[in-house]
Order: sequence, then C-alpha cells, then structure tokens
Amino acid sequence: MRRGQLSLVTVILLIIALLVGVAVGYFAIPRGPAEDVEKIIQERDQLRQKVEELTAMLQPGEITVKVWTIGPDPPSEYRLRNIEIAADILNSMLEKLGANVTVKIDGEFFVRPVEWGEYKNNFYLAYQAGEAPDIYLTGHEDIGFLAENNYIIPLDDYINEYWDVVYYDIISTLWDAVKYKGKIWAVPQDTEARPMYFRKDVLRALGWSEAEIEALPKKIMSGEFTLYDLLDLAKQAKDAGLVERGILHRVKEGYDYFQFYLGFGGRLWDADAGKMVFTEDAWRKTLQWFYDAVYVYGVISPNQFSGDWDNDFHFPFTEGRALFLSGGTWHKGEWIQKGLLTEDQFNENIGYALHPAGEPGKSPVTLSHPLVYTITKLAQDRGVADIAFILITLATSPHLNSYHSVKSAHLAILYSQISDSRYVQDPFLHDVAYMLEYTTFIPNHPKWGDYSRIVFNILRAVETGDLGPDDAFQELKSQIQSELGDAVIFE
Amino acid sequence: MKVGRIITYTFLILITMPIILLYVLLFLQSISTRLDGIIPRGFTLSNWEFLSTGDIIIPGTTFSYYPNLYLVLGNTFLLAILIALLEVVFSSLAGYALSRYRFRGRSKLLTLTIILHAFPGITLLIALFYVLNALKLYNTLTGVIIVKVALDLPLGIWIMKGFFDSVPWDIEMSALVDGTTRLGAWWRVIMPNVRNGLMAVLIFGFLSGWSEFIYVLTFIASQDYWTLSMLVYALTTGEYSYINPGVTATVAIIYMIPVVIFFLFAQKYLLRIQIAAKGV
Amino acid sequence: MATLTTLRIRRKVFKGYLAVFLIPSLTFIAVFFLLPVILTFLIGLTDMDYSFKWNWIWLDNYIKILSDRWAYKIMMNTFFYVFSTLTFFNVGLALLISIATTHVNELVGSAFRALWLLPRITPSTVYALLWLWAARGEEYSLFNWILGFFGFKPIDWRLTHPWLIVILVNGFVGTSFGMIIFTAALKSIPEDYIRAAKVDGASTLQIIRHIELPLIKWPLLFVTAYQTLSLFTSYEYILLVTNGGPGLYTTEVWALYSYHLAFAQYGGIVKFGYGAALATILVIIGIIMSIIYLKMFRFSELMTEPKIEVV
Repeated sequence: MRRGQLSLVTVILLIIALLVGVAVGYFAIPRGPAEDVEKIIQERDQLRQKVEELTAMLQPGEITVKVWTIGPDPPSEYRLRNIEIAADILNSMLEKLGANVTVKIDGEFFVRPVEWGEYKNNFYLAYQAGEAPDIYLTGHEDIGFLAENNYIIPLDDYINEYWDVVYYDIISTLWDAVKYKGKIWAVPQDTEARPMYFRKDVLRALGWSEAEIEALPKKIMSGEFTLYDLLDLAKQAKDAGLVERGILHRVKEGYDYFQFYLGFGGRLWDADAGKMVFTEDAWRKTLQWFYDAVYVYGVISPNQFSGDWDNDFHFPFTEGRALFLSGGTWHKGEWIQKGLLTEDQFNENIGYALHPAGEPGKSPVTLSHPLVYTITKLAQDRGVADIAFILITLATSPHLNSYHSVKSAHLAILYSQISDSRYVQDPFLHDVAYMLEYTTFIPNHPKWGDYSRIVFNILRAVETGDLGPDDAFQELKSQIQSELGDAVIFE
Repeated sequence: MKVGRIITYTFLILITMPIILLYVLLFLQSISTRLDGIIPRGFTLSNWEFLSTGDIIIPGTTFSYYPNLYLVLGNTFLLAILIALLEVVFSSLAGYALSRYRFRGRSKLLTLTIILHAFPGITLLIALFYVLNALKLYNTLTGVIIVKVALDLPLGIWIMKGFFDSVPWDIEMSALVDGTTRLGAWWRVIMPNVRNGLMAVLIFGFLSGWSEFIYVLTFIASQDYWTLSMLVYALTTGEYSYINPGVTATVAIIYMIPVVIFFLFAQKYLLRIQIAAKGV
Repeated sequence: MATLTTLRIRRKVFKGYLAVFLIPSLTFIAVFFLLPVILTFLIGLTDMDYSFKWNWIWLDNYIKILSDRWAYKIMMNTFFYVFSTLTFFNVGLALLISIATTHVNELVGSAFRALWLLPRITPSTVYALLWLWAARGEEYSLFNWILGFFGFKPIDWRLTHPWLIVILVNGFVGTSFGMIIFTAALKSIPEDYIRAAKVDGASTLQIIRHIELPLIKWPLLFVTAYQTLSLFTSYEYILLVTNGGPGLYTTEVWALYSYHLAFAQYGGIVKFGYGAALATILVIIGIIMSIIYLKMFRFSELMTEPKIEVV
C-alpha cells in the first residue's frame, strides 16, 4: 500500500469519526457543565489539526477505482450509482480538506443481455488479464470459490475498524451469508425474499371472497395450504378457463426452484460440517411434484424452462393469464418500471405469500440471495483496497441503500433502514418483511455451482418428459455423488 | 416447355419467398407501431429518434444500459477494416511466396494450409482463450482481430495463391531481368494483376470481421469494446427485454447497411469465386 | 540487360525475401492456430476451471464422456442435425436452385442466386433475430399470420418444432455454398453437349439427368464432404435461436455442448477441461476429414511447381 493512500485512509477515518463525534456530542450528550463542553471543543480542535496535518501529507492526484455491478434487472442501478454517490461525497470531503486528491469511479452496471453466468465469466477472464474491477458485486454464494482461489481479500480487519460507522447496523443474519471458513469476505448490498405471487382477480372470479383471498398468505404461512393445494387451485382456475397457465417459474437456470425442495423439508447446507446437503426424501418428493405439476395437473408448461422472460414469465402473469408466479421481490420493481402494472393495479390484483410447505407438517419457505460487494486481490495489489472499502462504507448508508431497495423492490440490509422514511412508505416492502423469518441462504461452497447446474438439468428433464420422476431421482443422486462426492452429505 | 418454365419460376419464387419476407419484415418493423404478419398498422419514426444521441434508453429508467450506438459502430468498423487489411497484406505476401518460390517444405506448407482451410477454428475457442489470456490480449479488440486474421488466413492465402498462379510468369521474368528486386516485382508488376483477388480477400475479411459474433461474445468483457453483433444480441434476448422491437430493428438495419452495399457491388465477385467461403 | 549468370547469382539474394513474404502469416498461424490445437488437447487432460490450474487428470474426462448419458443423446442430435441440413439444404436445395437458375433467363437466374447469398453475408445476430421474430407464437408473427390464411392455429414454432427452425435457419444460410459451386460446374459444361442432346430431341429433364448430373459428380462430393465438417462444428445459429433447448438438450449439438460447459455456466463454475475434451473430439474429426479431402479431391494437383524458379 502506498503511503499516500494509507494516510488518506486515516484522514477519511478521522473525518468520519469527527462527524460521528460531533453529532454524538451535539445530540446525544446532554448539555453538561462548562468544563465538559470545553473538553469536547478541545478534542475537536485536536482532531481537526490532526486531519489537516495528514491532508498535507497526501500525494496529489487522481485515484481510479474500477467497479463492476450487475442488475441484471435495470431498476437495480443504485448498486453502481450508490458507489458513484459515495465517491462524490468522498471527493467533496477531500476538496473541503484541501487535499489535492480525487477519486474517480470507472464503473460498469451490467444489465441484460448479461446473464449471471456471462457476468461471472467476464470477471474471471478479466481478472486473468489484469483488467478486473477493484470492487466486484456478486452473489454471496460465490465467495467460497472466490476466496478459495485468491480472487478476493478478507474484510474482517476493515469491518472491525469501521464497525461503529455503519457495520453495527447490518441485519445480523446477513453476516452468515458473507462468511466463509470463519472470515468475512464481503459486505451485503441487498437481499430479497422470493414470494409466490398470485392473481387476486382470478381468485375472485373463482368465487373467493376478499376475506378468503386476504387469508391465503396466512394459510400458507401456517402450513395449512401446501404445494399440492397450489396445484389443485391452479388446475381449478385453468379448468374454469380463467387462465392459460397455472404456475409460472423462472425460465432459466437459477436458484428459485430450490424453494420447492426446501418446502419438502430438504436442507442445502450443514453449517457444522461445512458441507452441502442432499436430503433424499425431499428430492424424491420435489421431482415427483414437478412431474405431477406438468403431467398430472397440467399447470406448468413442459417448456417453462426454455421460455422467454417476457412471454413466458412476465407478460402472462401481469396480464392475468396465469394464476401463480414464483418470483422475487425485485420483479415487482421491474413490473412497475416497465409499466406492465401500476402501483394501483399491483395492489388491487396481485397478492404475495411465502412458498407453501410441501406437505402438512412442513414449513413454508422463501430463499434469499444477498448480493455483496467484494474487494478483489487486484485492488490490494494496486493499493486501492482501502479507498474501495471507504466507498463501500459510504454507500452502505440507510439513506442510499433505501433508494436502491425502494426502486428495485429489494429488502433492507440495515436495521435503521427499516425506519427510513422512503423504505417505510413502501407498503410492499413492509408487507414482505416477515418473509425473512422463513428464509434460507444458498450455501457458500465453491462447488455450489455444480450442485445447482445438475439440479437444473434434471428438473428441466422432468418437465420436458425426458426423465420420469424415479429415473430422475436416480440420475440426480448419481450425478451429485460422482461430481461432488465428499462435498455433500446424503441424508 | 412452357409448363416447365412456369414450374421452375414458381419453385424459385416460393423457395426464395422466406428470405424476401424476412428482410421486408425487418424494414417494416422499424417504421411501424405494430405489424400483422407483414401488414403495418400505423407508421412511426420514433424508433429512429435515438439516433440523434445514439443512447438506447429503456423506458422508465435513467441509465443508458447499452453502450452508445456510435461507439459500437466505431468499434465494428475498426475491427472489420483492420481484419480486412491485415488479411490482404498477409495473404498476398504468403500467397505470392507459395505461388512463385521454390523452397524446402513448400509442399508441406501448402498441405498444411489446405488442412487448416478446411479446419473449423471455432473448435479451438477454449485454447484460444487461454492463449489470448497469456498474451494479455483478452478483452481487447486487438485480440479478436488477431484471432480472426489467423483463422481466416488459410482461406485468404489460397485465394491469393490461385490468383498469383494465373499471372503469366514471363511478365515478372522480364521485370526481374530488367533488374527489379523480387519485392519490387511483386509490388509493381504482380500486384496490379491480382486486383480482383485482393478485392475478394478484402471483402471476405471485412464481412467476416463486421459480422463476427462468437469471438466478441467470448473474448470481450467490457461494453466499451462491444461490436454491433453484441448490441443486437443484447437487444434480442433477455430477462428485461423491454426494448421496443422497432428500436432493435433500427439497429439491425444500420448494421446491415455496409453489408447491403457490399452485396450490391460485390455479389458478382462472390458468386464467381470457386473456393467459396467456408461456414455453415 | 542482365545475363543469365547474374540472375542466378541474384537468386540467392532474392531468397532472403522469402522470410519477408512468409513470416507474418506463419507466425499468426503458428500461435493462433497450431498452438491452440495442441493446447485444446492438453487442457482436455486436466480439470481446469477459473482457478486456471493445470491439474492433470489424464483420461478421466474421456471416461466421463463415455458414461455421460446425455453425451449419447447429443451425439445423436449432432448426426441428425448434420444429416438433415445437408440433405435438404446444403446439397439438395443447393442443387435444385443451381439447376433451376441455370435453366431460366441468365439475369433472373443470377438475381435469385444473389438473393440466396444474402443470409450468408447477413450478420448472424441479425439473421437469427429475423427468424426469432418470424417464428414467434403470436398470431400476428410472420409464420402464424401466413398459416392463418390456411386455417392453422398460432403456435410458438421455436418451442413446438425446434428442430424444424434450427434446420431452416442453418439451411437458408448453408445453401449458398453448394449453389455457387454447382452453378459454376453447370456453367462449365460445354454448350455443344447440350445443343447436341437437344438436336437429338432430349427433354430438359433428360438433359439434366443424363448430361448435367453425371458431370457435376465431383463438385457434389466435394460440397457434401466439406459441408459435413462445417456443420459438425457449427453452433452459432443454434446458440442464437434455441440455445440447445427447449427441454433438456433437445437441440444441443456436440460443439454447443462444449461451448456451454466452458463458457456459459449460470453459477460461473466452468468446465474448461471437460469442454476441451469434448472439443478435442471435434478437432480430431476435423483433422481426419481435412486429410481425407486432401487425398480425395487431389488438392495436390494444385501444388504445381512454381514456374518462375525454373530459369
């Protein structure tokens, strides 16, 4: 690390400490005796002097920080924008201090056509060529692989150092998502729940009363309404000619469909052993459920996994041609931004609940997939890791993060966000907050991608009829065994 | 006889119709608010408005999610022109040597060139990636250019060798006898006689670079280096594909302009070439 | 005027230029063509991923391919794709079009041939886009709109008839190669043959069958062999149109499978090693077939000795 930057970090740290200190001094401490006030003023002046001395030491120049973020949903633009705003804040601080240093963001916000896979490809390949970003936003599940192969650096020291600035405020369960082998490797950027959306207007047409409709999420929450009830209801609506399709789920590889497995009591991760889990009974039932959904109830299209996002996912649901949609909170953000639904239409016609339990006695579920900012090894080599961390820290504010949450319909990562005025005024975010109590993270295991890919191929084969449920189970088990071996516990 | 002719024309028209309709569709898509088959319902120029800035904005958002059209257009031109020029220079040098020099290993080299000409370079993607990566050429237009030139070269060399072979050697002989150097003879006497060959290689090179998709998709990470093929791909597929198809059509039409120009002026060359381009 | 002797002496000096002529091409071809062939083979013996480690597992990838139940399906897909496209378009339709266009007015004939060149020179992403639009499921999409006049219900062609679309998309591009070669061959048949046959009272069909077809036997064989290899390794249009779907590996071909494993993993867990092993098989097929062409089509005849050196 260059000396100039070391001192820059100290300066920033002091500025923040100063601001916090002054604020605390002003608001929190009751006006005490005169000597206390004197003391505070004295301390403040000392601090100021120290800051000025350090500022003078800084080497003038421009520091570029390269940032990669991804939507792929365009409303998530604040993933990059907040870092840019953080840089603006930092620059104005530096300017006020008279430091001849500016921070420039060389940022990319990848949206479609970049799929997650392409985005990650680009990162790894760019890394090899020395072109990788300093700050890399990715799914939390990647940190296992990234850490294992020295792509990113652990952040424990930084986080301890800046704990009181903002990190104390991060919702504590989220720390689990960014830990790997006992260290913290990333800072959460957002999280979400994945609701089972349903069309209230279709239920009304089926003769449901408003009270019954309002009660559906609660019936799902209590475990009374199960995945097979979901199939029944979808079939009713389809048979009645109210909808063309019963249930929609994502059309490409992803993690959403693991919720059905979780709903049948499956486990993905054993924290004690540090291994992934394959619950045989749950997988058997999940594959059977998908088979039944397509071939017995006829409520999922055999080609759902080869569809197109607009015509097989968004449009049929927003136009009321499908009853259920297994989506994510961010989809609401997309529908509003695309103009597929207005807020009023959404509130009037769309309901949302947890993913139902697989069978009576099991628990309903949802899945969260926090996206996280990581700092690359490359940033450390270039000596900009400290600046990168400061930018992340400044971007992790309740105010800025709420811009992101509200616009893109993601959930809060900070406790104080829950009372942020923007966040509070969004009824949807308020309504889905309870879902986080039922949430699961996917494993931070370097081989999780293989697990996911194998499951996707098998599920798709079940839906298209290439494999029967029993055959599919055998195939799934043998592939997981042969490719992942020791990394998975079979139960 | 008459019946035979009618059947022939009917066959040709029917079988060629899909091609015509597809391109008509592209054009109408960009100037219509809605299409029923190929019947436009409502005329609009709004799909062309973004050309004033080149920024393609998704309705309801503030960022321009795609790189600027003119930047992408510039990249594509740069890529295509450099590929075409390098191919012309290299293949006319090597083609001349193979046509006119006798040296040890000549026939082996010729054999190799033929094998490589038939050999599908696309199967080497993983290894090419590894090489580019090692040479620090990953995510550069240079990398894509070099790979394209290398993979297209055997074809170019063959075309040029064929043209050099058909130049009578006594023209060159008399120049050499007059005391011109070999390089000088090549440049002043031979090259003017193979203009058609140079033209063919230039066109092949340009079109092949202009249209390149897989190498750009695989070897370019940054949107700053996108070419039009990536932009069209980006606008076509996606989780959030709420770009008006009319705008996509406009970009595709712009992408087609040089192709159509080359097509109108150069199809007679293309139709005449015996060792035709490989591809599907 | 230089004498023969001085010319001979100078020839030694001229040889120096040989390097100037050859080195640029040779370097490019060696580094970006020959080296990758070797590397593909070597990477296929490792389990390389984004950690870029050369972890030798030797033939494990190949053993895995043999026991990969989908590899068999994908190989069958590949054969089906190559055979259908080749039969119906790259050879079949190409032949029909070149015969038809050489038996009508020359200007009209070349206009039709020119139109058939258009798909080949259209950038693949644009061309695929056109088909994607035309084959959509809505009733107003091109195919459904046309078939609607004949009372057909609208369907999503890409999902219901993926192979038909894949073969059409590739076929409309692939036809032009054979068309050009066949046309050139047909035009090179001496006018006298045909005139003589006509005088003898032969019909057009008889002329085609008994005079033209036998004379283009070699071009026919060449196009078949050449296009077989091209099709075997091509996947760009499939990637753009169905991406191997719908369903599990429905239209996945061998080369696309290799591409998917190496470059298109949702979780970013790539399989360079396994993908390279799959590619190696294609590379070997490619090399063998190229050598077969060389022998079969007597390319060696093209390698006549250069005349200028014979002084």
